[in-house]
Amino acid sequence: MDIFNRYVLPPTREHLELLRYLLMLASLIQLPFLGIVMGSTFVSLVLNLRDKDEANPTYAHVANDLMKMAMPSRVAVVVFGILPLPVIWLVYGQWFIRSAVNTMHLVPVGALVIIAGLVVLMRYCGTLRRDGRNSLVNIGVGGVGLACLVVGTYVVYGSVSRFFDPERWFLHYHAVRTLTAWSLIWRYLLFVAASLSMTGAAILFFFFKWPRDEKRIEGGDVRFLKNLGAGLAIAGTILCPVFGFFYLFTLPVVAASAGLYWMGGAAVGVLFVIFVYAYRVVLSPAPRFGGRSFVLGLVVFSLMIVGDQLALVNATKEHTAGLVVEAEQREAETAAKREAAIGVAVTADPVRGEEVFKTVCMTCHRMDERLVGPSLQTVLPKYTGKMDALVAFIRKPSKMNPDYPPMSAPGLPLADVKSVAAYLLGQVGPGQRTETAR
Amino acid sequence: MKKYLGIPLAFGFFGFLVLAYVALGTDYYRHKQAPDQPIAFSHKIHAGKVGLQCLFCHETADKSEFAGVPSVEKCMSCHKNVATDRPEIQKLAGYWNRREPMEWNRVHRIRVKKYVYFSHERHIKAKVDCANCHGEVKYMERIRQVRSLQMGWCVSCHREKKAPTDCLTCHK
Repeated sequence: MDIFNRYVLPPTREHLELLRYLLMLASLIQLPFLGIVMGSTFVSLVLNLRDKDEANPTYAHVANDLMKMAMPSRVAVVVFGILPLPVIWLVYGQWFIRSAVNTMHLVPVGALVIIAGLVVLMRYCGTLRRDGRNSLVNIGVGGVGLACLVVGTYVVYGSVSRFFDPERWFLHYHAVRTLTAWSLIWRYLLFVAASLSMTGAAILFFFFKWPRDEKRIEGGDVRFLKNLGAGLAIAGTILCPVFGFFYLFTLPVVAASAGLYWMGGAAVGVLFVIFVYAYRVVLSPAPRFGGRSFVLGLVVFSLMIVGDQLALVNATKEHTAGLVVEAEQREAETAAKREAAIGVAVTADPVRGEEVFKTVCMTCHRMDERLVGPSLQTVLPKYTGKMDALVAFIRKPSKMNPDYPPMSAPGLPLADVKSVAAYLLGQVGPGQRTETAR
Repeated sequence: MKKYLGIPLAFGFFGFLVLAYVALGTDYYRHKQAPDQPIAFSHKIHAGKVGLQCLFCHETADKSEFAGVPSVEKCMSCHKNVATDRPEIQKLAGYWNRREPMEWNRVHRIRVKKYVYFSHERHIKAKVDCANCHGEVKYMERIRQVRSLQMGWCVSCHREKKAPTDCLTCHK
């Protein structure tokens, strides 16, 4: 986004690493929460509609209790659902400044839709009746809230999808084209499947495992809830690895690395374990394994988030390196300006100059013969009496002679460059004195 | 016992998926990841820090279809004296002393090359920057292919830049 290009400086390497950890943390806080909210809302709507057809108090109770579980309070919704959004936007904005792709403006659009969805769902949650006498309008409100969440999360996911494919950065894609790429669709479906699994695990955890002292459900609903939770977890664990496979299959090669495939395999293993726990819950009369399923569900989300990050890092390696170089150059320029502004006296010392020449310059230069660079005795005379010009050339060499490879900037401090220049000019002509210069 | 059928079915299903992931990973490892080279040459140092231009080493890029790789002699023009204590430079000197060419492993691969005509010279004459197709090489410690080099991508760029898109341009 232009606002980032104008007001944000390129980050250093360490800063970028920190930003990425922050991004992973913010995503890990938000995505499982949004997944549980979306999954619970979907099931709640289905149960409410079924209750309308065949009045069943269990459906009404569970539809209500699920929403209370997913959205326990306004504070939880703000902390888990809304606060991470500006963090995610700002981190991506800093990471992708200077890139030719301008899809970052989609993040605030998606974020606003997510916030709207959460607000609507809080209303749905607050007006839901446990006795099942919910109007179609009220159920419709829940549907609108769910639709907003789906669209908002899809747009936020899609806003960074172009960055996985650097070869298309120069192509001027419309936002619709950006949002309909296959790899994005598979990536989002992976999130949906993981959300289903996470919702099931959350049901087993929050209703039967923790908090222990709270009586959330009545006797008749226990079996239904247990099977619902386990069923959702089973569905999610079956779909997740399939979508994950297609996600890896359609990922651009530039984003791939061996670590990504290892992570995918590990995630399949963890999903298998969740499946086994959920299957045993279906078979057993009492609810079990709530804690383990929930923790493993979070592990799956972590692997997804870290894997996504790794793919993005792989794809944007050179872009990031460019930012780091720009940051380092800026630091060097700032140091040089500070040096000049403070007015530190820089003494040109030929003895020091000789020492630097022998350790640094002699790699490519000799006084009286061609090496990598020309014989210095042939090129130095034109700098006689022009020490400043020689100092400027050494600090920022430009290609002078087509017969030789270009000289790289030695990156020496100003005092050393002046000393080397004084030493060299002393070698080619008499009467070059040491000078103290500002 | 029928109710326990799910577990072996799950073993089969997840096992099959694990094999599918292993197949994907093996395909990447064998065909798509950046290959090892006889010497750990760093474009980040040479193109980035030292500032060598692409055409300084890849001399034939603006004269032929092929960009080419530099001869050992080209490398030795600097490394006869520069960084001679480093193990990789000593490997290079070994090739020079034995008068042996270095066998670099191909990095950029058009998978169906025998059906495609691609000329570096035509693209350089059209002022296409090397970084468009090879990425920012000056930041790469280890050179890798960062573009798919597939037809759809080539045609997209030809359309954007108003270059010819008829079949015989590339299939002749």
